[in-house]
Amino acid sequence: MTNSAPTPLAHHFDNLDQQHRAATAGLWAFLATEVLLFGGMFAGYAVYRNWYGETWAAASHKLDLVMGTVNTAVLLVSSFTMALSVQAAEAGQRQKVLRYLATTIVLGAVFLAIKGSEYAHKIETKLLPGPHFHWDGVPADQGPAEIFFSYYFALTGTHAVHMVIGLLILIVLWIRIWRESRFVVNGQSVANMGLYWHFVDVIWVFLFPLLYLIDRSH
Amino acid sequence: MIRHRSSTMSSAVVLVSLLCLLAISVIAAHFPLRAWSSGVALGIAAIKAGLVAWYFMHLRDESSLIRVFSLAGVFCLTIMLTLLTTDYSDRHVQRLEAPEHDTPRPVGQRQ
Repeated sequence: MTNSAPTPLAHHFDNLDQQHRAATAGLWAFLATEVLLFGGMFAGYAVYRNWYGETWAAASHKLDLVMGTVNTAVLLVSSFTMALSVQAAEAGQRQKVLRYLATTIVLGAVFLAIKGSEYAHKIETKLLPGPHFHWDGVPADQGPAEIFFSYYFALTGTHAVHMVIGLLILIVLWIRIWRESRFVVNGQSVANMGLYWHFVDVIWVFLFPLLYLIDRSH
Repeated sequence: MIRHRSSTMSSAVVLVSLLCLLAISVIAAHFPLRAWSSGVALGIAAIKAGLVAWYFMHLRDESSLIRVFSLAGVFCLTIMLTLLTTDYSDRHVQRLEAPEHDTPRPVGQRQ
């Protein structure tokens, strides 16, 4: 079924084009604050990696490169399906929107499942920062290695929280479109959700080399 | 609702490019690039981020105003990191551990 009914126009906008531009600008302004949220952690990461480069490289090798690479690919594909959802929403193709959004949701869940199994393995091998932390490298390197894993959990954890929030919004959006058979495909909602989802993807694109690819040549 | 210039085929080309760049970054990390390794990894990441922003986030179809909005966060972050770099590079800061705790070890002792 296709439905090309327009997005409802709020009273304080002159036309849909103006409403769309305002919504898009607002979403980008929100993403700017998100850049600074992660930017603070990136700044701390830069200082500590500069100080403890050798230990951080050794600690980075404890991360599972295969899982990290697969997860990056999963997220990139989910960005692709999200982009297709936005295209379908703009064309008013309700069934396609449902299909692509569902695929994006599944891929997001796969990403979180892989990340969860990585966390479980780190906790099992005592690499969770805290009283039980144990680094089997040089004993004197416990502190710097613990800082590396603190950043690993803080950065990937904050990213995972963004993923969970994105998934919840995607699920709500999907249910709304699915339940209402005469649903007016709200292209703006899907487009805004797309911007957020792609942003979360971009953050991971930087987290992956910073955490998993430190000095792998040794 | 604005229609963006994108098709399934063009999005698929972007996806394939992104996956190729991912493979290149993983392979490049295993080459002894030494001081360049971080630069190469982050450079590839920046290209990937640019592709996502330009095509998937539709920056290529947006007005100049939206493009400026998209750079606002990066601009502020650049200022923050520049000030941080100048601060930490020209003064002595006490580290958590003594410097000798982070001295290089024989490769065989890693992991």
